[in-house]
Amino acid sequence: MPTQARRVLRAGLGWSSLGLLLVGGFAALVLAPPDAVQGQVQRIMYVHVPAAWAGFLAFFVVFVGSVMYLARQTPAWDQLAAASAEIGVLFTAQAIVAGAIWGKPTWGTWWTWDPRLTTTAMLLLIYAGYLLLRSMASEARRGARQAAVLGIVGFVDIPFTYMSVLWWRTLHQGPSIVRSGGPTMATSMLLILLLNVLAFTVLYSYLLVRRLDVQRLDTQALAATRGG
Amino acid sequence: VEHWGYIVAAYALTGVSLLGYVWYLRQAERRMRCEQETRYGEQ
Repeated sequence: MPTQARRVLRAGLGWSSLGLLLVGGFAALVLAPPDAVQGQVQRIMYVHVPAAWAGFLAFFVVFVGSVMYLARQTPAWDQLAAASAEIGVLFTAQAIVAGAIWGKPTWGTWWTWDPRLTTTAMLLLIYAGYLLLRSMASEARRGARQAAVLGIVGFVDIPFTYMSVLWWRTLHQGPSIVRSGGPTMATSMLLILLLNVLAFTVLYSYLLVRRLDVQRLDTQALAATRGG
Repeated sequence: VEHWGYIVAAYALTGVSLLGYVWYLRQAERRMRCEQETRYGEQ
């Protein structure tokens, strides 16, 4: 992509994610009604769920990038997977921390070895391991290949994480949006949640573009060092 | 009990970690651009 177009895309994504986050945050903290059972603390949902969604999205991109890299051996796919994994780890950590903060007043504990929490923690560890594997690889191409395999195998944990609330008895609540019979929450809450999901999706795209820019400069620097 | 402290903590930690990551990307990009300019200057 030409530099000018890239710059416009980056600025557009940056400003739109900032705008959406501000509007989404205001709607979540001020406009959303308190939950009938949990009261005000349920407002943490508007940051916990979008962060978890953005983490899943990021790891899906890692999966696609890894498959394509193994199939075509094109470095761009590997770079996409690596950039997305880093952002996915950030969003998943945010979802876990926000969930723990929500858990304390509602469940009476910061953490419990519930299937949803445990599979999410495993997801975080798998992709933290993915980043560690890349950074410790003695040879870049071999590291990229090994990371791609982990990026594909690690993705298997996502259906387990998502379905854990249906497959096992858990403390974590079940699906309240994507379920047979339609969403269980009030329309006003659902719309604010979807607004925040959109904000985190645009934010993910912005961070991905910026992370890829850093990677592109790094690749250029490496090429210049080898060439010069 | 309204638990506003928990709400503020969840939003603040998310916000601070995002700002921290954007700052880290900015610093990395700035450092690499500086190195690139120095390299071209030497050539």
